Amino acid sequence: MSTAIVETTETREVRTTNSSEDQQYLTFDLADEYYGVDILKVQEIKGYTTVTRIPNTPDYLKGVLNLRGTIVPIVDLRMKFGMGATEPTSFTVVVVVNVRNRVMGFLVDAVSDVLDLNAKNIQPPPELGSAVDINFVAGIGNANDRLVTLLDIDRVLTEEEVKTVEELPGQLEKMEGHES
Amino acid sequence: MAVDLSHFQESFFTESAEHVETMETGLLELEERPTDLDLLNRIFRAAHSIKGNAGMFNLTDIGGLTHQMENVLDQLRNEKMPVTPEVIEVLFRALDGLKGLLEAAQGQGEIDQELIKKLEDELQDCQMQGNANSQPAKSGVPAIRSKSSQAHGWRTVTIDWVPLPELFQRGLDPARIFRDLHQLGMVKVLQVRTDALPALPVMDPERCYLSWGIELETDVPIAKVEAVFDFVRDGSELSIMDRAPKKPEPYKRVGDILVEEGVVTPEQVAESLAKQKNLGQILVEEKKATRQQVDKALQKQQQLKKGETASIRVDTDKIDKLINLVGELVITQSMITDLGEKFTINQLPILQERIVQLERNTRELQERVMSIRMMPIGSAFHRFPRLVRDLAGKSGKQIQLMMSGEETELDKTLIEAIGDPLTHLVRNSADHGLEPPEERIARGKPAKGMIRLHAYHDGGSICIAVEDDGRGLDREKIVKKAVEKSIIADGSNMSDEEVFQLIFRPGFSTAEKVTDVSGRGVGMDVVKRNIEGLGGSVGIQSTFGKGSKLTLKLPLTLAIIDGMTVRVGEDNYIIPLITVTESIRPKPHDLQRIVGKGEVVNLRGEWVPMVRLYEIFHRPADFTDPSQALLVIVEADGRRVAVLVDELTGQQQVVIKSLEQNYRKVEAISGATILGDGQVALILDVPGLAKLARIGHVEAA
Repeated sequence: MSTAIVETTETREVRTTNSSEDQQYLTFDLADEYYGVDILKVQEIKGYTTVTRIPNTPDYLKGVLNLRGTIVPIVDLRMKFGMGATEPTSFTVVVVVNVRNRVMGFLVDAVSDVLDLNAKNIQPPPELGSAVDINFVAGIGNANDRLVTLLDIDRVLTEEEVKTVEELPGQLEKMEGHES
Repeated sequence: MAVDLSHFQESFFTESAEHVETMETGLLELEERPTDLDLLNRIFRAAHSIKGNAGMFNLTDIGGLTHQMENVLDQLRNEKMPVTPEVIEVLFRALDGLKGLLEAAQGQGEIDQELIKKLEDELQDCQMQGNANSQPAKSGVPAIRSKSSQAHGWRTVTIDWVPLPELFQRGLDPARIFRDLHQLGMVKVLQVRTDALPALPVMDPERCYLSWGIELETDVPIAKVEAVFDFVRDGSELSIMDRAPKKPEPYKRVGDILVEEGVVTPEQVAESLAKQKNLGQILVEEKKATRQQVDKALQKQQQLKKGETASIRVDTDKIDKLINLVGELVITQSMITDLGEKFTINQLPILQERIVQLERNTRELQERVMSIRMMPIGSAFHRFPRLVRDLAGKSGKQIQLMMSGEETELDKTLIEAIGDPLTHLVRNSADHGLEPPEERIARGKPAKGMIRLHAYHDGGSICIAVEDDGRGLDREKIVKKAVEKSIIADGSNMSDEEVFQLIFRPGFSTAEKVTDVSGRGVGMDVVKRNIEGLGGSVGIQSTFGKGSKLTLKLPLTLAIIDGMTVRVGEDNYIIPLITVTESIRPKPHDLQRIVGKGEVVNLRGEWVPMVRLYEIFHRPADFTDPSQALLVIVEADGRRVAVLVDELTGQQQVVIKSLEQNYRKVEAISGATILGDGQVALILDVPGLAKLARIGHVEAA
């Protein structure tokens, strides 16, 4: 008789809702818009250096660069949001974030501040119709009378865009036909 | 006092694996030299160590089986019975059983209780023979044991002993008791209770505060056990309980119980089970999680499982050297810092000198760190004496296995990865390559066939040769078959090596007829694919009627490859050097188009498909005219492809970095590396390129 295998690990995710407390956001400029990301997702901020382009990848993927021996993909956020390519200036920086266990860099025009935002000052994203893709907007905050768009960094790239690869390089195929 | 032993479990398994190996090689040698007492002692010690350690971890199955093996070995070394092929066979089988138990204890596979029982019975039969052979006067305890084993059988006796406090004052030593018990059988559990122990200041060192719980596995009558305690019985609390052979109630599943009780039929259970779903599936269906999230979690779970077992044993010597080197590195670094603080330009030579020193330190450190992963290839060879012995026994052939170069060092992951392909080649040599003794004698060869395994370093690679003096490959037959299968037009202008390489073609080797005549069996294509997957190659030499030699050539490590750097426009790419056969600048008339699209280039009469790198990568290039640019001819999966690049810029060793770790797999790219200036360069996936050349170009994303 066969038995079905029952998974032992719970895949449930615990969502932290500390609405009473302030949350910190790293804010940055993109064209003339103002954005923020959860500061806990940010690993570091790095100056922009030339990247190596990867063939046959979408335009918004600027390329990869060497971050202390690790190959890190760099996404041009302006391109991703359809605001045209970033022209590198001396303010252009890469915000290195941790997204779903991957390290990635987002190219932004300039970082400005760390912002304390109370949950009650954050509004849900407005309905803008199907013309504007706002899946990756976590909410809209107010900072010194300036609107700040809070990004859900995990959703900026969809699962398909950062596909999980099951196969490890160099992994051996199972030998077939042993009995000869 | 419970001590957490789980930390030691892993080293127990590593050690046991080593002991099993000692026993296996020992038994193989024993076949050759049945009277070698040193050898017997070595095997005995290995069995004894496993038994002892197993007891510590409460692995009673392993302890029980090794105990029986130990008994047989003990009789052999005390010359109570002769070393016969039959006994060795029984010991070999028991050893296999032991391997199974060890694997089961590590959570791989299940214990085959019946098999273990059978093995233990076989071992006991051996012992009884030994006892029957020996003189009654000499045999002592074992004789009693064997007589009583019919009457009492093996069982566990539980002893609980609280000695009287004045035990020591009477000059009695508990350790003596335990020694005596050990003589009667196997002490499976010896638990000391220290709860009566007072605080140190009030403790009287002459009083005995300890008490013991003992489980003894034995076959002697209970009176014998009781007799051990004769001297200490007065004033002690002693209980000796004879438990009948314990048959553990096997774990039952709910379904089985319901079926037994007649509530449901097995079919109904199976039907219901089919409806049972995995947690992940339910979550997805109820839209609590996405398919990807669940997959990701499963993947993570897998990795956690894998993570538990990956460990490596390193000589302390190697670690000491590393620490020294790191020390030197720190000194050099502080020297440079010191210099930098008050640097003047006339100190430039000193700075340069120190930078050279830093370079030297770093390079040496790199080499040493790599060498930690290096292990002698002997550990991959160990399984072969046994394999060949079994194959020889099965096929009725006489085979001598010779191994050399076992000390050649190679990356640990590679050693693990080549195990299967090597086994396949050795098996093939034994099964098909070597002829039966009669046929060999008829051909004027010695009746005993020879298989030779030889490992050696060759530049930056390691070579492993599998050689036999059997039938060899029949060139004519292979050519005929290949023409039949229209793989080639005719073989007249092919070299021997090229012809023999045909046996690696998928589907080719499976053809029964060729297998019979060529002596090479199924799955050679898999061997080749696996070796090439590791960045290696398979060479083949053979003389018909004299034998064949297959040589696996592998890089020393997976992490570093020799690469050729090429440039296309402003991009640099790395081509693995092992795939490059040559590079040419073609003449315009060597280039042809087929059906207006597919481009081919004439390479000394052979038309090779051409891939324009700038075109498939959609990147700008300096030259689009091949006769101005360069063609690098690469070979993968036995196919050649010409890759169009602007220029060759150099050749260097590159460290392979994963692109998938943070991004994803990219077509025709196998990874990335970091060049000397800190820039990232992409490594070309040559088999992928070859595939692209066949199926056409990728569309721009």
